[in-house]
Amino acid sequence: MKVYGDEMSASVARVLLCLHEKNTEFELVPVNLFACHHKLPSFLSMNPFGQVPALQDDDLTLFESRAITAYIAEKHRDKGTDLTRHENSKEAAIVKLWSEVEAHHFNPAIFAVINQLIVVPLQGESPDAAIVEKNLEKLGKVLDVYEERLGKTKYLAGDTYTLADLHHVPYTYYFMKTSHAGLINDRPNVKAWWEDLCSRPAFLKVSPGLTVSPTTN
Amino acid sequence: MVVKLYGQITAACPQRVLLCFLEKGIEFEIIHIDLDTFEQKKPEHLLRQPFGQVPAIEDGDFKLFESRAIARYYATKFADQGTNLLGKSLEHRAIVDQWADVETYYFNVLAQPIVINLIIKPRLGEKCDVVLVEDLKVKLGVVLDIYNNRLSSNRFLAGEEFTMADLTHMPAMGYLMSITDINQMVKARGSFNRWWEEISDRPSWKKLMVLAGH
Repeated sequence: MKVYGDEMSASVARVLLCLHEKNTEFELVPVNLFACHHKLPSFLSMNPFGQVPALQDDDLTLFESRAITAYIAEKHRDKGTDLTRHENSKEAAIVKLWSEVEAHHFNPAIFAVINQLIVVPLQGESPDAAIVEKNLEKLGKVLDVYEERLGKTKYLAGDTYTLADLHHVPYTYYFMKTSHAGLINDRPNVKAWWEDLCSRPAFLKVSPGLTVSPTTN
Repeated sequence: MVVKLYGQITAACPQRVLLCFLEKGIEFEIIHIDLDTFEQKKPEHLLRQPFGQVPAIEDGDFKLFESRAIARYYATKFADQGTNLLGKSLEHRAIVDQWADVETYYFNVLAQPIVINLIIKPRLGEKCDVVLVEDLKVKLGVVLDIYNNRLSSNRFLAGEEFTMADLTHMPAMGYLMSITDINQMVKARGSFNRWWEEISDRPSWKKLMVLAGH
């Protein structure tokens, strides 16, 4: 399997975490994001939306990090961590549910904050404080729901680690580098969950690649 | 026992689930949650859906929310009944997932605020963010060009068959097509327009429109 991207990209990290959880060999093919190589025709032929990651597995080419993690988790369902609870359709649906929550409730808010505090400065612009404030408030409300959920279950979809948890990891890691880490740390159940996610061997292999830092807070 | 769907039949996310039920021939009961009076934010519904949105389902003891997770569960549970929405081989299923994710990350992020500003807000007597809408339309045009290209060499988004990747777009498309400018943007893109005309001709869509009072 070839993953096209850069280790500092959260979406690429999402795929790398999955590959490590499944003990699957892969080759990371570098794509220079600062030089905009993800907008060149050669990359657009893999992902017409011009974003990393893309995956090649024999003659299959895929984009969208969460479609890629679902594919890897399914192809290698019998090895490594069970990321999808595939043997029980109701449990699998609960994994999907909390994966959707990440996609529709968590990601838009946390991405907006990370974008202002980390990406925008890299492009030579100033962060928009109003956008940061608005999305911190939204993120807080989402984390209130998580706090209650994680008071009942160890992980979001139940008592085992699944894709529903994994998908949160890269942006949360970047978020914890900002001055707003209190949103996580002030919620005991969320904090305990996050610390558990950070203790996993797959995380310890991937996090060193997540090198970008906020220049302002 | 018939699955109960809590939601408003005119709302996009419940429609996503209803389309899945109709494609698979699954019996259902709709329990109306009135969005105009914000019933979805009241304590009784928050127990079903902690984010205060529709839909949620109850199927005996089994409860679920998030329309795409619900649709996927029923498409899996009734894999051998009605339309195959998930794909056949592992690789085909991955391509279905890919284009279904495109709906979430590229299409819905633009379509939803357009529909909220141009259709929902006027209904609630709120002001539309005109500047935002114009910006969103430009971005939507770029995205629709990518879809148009994809659909010029593929009958449906994931290949030669109708799947969840197509279905998941339909509720928002229904709303977008009622907005003049967007309607024209769609008609200006031959392959994309061909795809919309084909999928909106499906019996499931026509049935849904009747149920929703069109």
